Amino acid sequence: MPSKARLNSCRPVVDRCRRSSVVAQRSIWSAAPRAWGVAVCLVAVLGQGFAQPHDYLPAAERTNGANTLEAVQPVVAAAAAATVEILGEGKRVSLGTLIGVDGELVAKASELPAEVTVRFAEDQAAPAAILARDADSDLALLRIEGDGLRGVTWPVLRGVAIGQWVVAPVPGAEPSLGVVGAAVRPIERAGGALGVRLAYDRGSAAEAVTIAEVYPESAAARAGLQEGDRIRAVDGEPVRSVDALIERVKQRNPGDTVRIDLERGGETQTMDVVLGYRSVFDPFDRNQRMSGPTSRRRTGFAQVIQHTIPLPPDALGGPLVSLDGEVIGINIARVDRVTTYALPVREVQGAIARLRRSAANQTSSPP
Amino acid sequence: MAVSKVYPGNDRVGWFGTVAGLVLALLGSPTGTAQAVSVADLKGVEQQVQRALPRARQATVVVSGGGSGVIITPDGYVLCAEHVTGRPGRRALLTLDDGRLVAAKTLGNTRFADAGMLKIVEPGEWPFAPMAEAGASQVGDWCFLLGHSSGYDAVRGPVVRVGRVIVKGRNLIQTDCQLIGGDSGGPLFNLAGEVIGINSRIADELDENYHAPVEAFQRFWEPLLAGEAIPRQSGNGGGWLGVRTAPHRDGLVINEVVPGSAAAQAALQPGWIILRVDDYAVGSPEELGMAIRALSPGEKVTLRYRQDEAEHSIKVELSDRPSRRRTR
Repeated sequence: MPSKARLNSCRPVVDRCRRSSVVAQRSIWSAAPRAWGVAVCLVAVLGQGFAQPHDYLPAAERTNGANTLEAVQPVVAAAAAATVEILGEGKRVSLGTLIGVDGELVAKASELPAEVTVRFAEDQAAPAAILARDADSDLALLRIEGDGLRGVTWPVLRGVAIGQWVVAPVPGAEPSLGVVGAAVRPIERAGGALGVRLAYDRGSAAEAVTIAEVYPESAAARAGLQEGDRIRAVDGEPVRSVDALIERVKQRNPGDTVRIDLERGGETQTMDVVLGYRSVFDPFDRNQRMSGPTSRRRTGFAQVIQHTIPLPPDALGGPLVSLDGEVIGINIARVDRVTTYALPVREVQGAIARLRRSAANQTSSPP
Repeated sequence: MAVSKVYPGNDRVGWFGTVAGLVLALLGSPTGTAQAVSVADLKGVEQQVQRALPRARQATVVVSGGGSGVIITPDGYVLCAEHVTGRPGRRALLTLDDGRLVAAKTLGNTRFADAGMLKIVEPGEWPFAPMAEAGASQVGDWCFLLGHSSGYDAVRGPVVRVGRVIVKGRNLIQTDCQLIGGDSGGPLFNLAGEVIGINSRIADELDENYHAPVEAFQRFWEPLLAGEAIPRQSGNGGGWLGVRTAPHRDGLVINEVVPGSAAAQAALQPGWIILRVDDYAVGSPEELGMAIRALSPGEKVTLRYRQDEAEHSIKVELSDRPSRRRTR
């Protein structure tokens, strides 16, 4: 049997022949800048007496090349007009989709700091109120003041077909093209994480689990856990094995606070740790390492449309559009190199109803 | 199939040629690859993909845990990647699209193209997708692929990606259909649902997805079926130029030309300064080596070089890399 690493491998040449071969491929065949298209065109025409095809497809001709995207631009125009950018601390953190006539919009909740600004035109931005957050869908409801802010039109619900093209408008950039890659389905939650490596003690009847390493910028690091700390209990429940500790932490969600009883230097301490996302372990995952930036919150959805549009983690929360221009979902998570999730319209509408109820309850409650 | 390489960097072209070429290029290349894409075109692609999908999906299998593969004959021959199948004569387990597990054994492989084969050893008539004929796929073709991205997921099934052929070489196809671990060994199809390649590897950019072309199987068909691990055709892998170089202010200065090498055949001379390879700058001997090894023996590269203050270009046909020599 080949080793697991080999089976999972998508970069055999990299592994066997050093990373250099990949670099070489990139330097030779890289997604050429648009100018190259012209350059190659020229030389093809000049040097080869009008007879030879290009040796490679110019960047503009590719699936997400300028020529292709120019064609789909009109299709997404209406949805693009309802797509805004959410800025937090000066930089984009999410897109937003306008959903009503009164400046209501939804965005990706887990990326939003407490205070955000919405940029709804190139030179127009306004502070927005975050009215409510929905943990199930990872959508937040926001409202901005402004004229002519028209929301998206939801289509008559139809099935989403595997292999159908989908487009995502991105303000300030060309839209991005992909296909629905797999069946609409639920995505299990992954739970929270401390962000530590645990030591498997060989001894029997352990009374605690030892932290072998605290990963930088993890929940554990923020809370002050240290290498060598011996965790005795989580939320008062004793943990006697690595697996028991992991299981207990995974039962809780990112953002939840857990109380950890631990031993350090012979003394017993209690610490509150706000759990983080399991994406803290991405550096140890081969597929994640080859994926570029991904969303921290990318699991635990009742239903998703899986598609291939390569959206950066700050470009979720915007509409997913069919080639007929219908909004079929809201992009919600960049998962890996080949995967983006969108919430189907039915899920979005359910979330919006919950968000509006939640917002109404908050405003109607006495101060 | 002969795929001609057309490289930038022809120094015999004057300004008239440049203008004429620009006009022609803007009017549309007579070769026909520079075309606008319309929404109708895309919908046509979508329809063909969706028509081909059911059969393509039935033919796509999981190979022993993490990889993918595709059945290409009703009697159960399977195309896969060498780095998934490993050496010939081993047992493997395939998971069919309907969840059935079937026993298979690994056949031959060509490591240099990352082409590997298996045969289902149980009797039966298997769902399959035929191979395309040699030369059927070309740069610019729309294509789609299937693979069990990040491993088998029975609820999700294999994941579809759609894109275009960016490069077609003897031993590789490059597409913009994104791959990830688990897709390895899975099939790349043309819009007719014929297998044109096998998912192999990636580089960092999203457009850098590489597949073994079916031609790399077809060239060695009998030995592959006979279970031969076909040795590298090219020593350490890739093409060979045969020069020793050192960094120089603008490029790499040739210190030595190995007798009998491709460089010697092309009469490269010590003292020349290599500026670019196929119009990509090379800053170090390592980079030059990488660029050359990424190509296959028999392929031609255009070297841009300087000799006595004058710049020239020369085409060099790369040779096989001698297995024991470490010369670049």
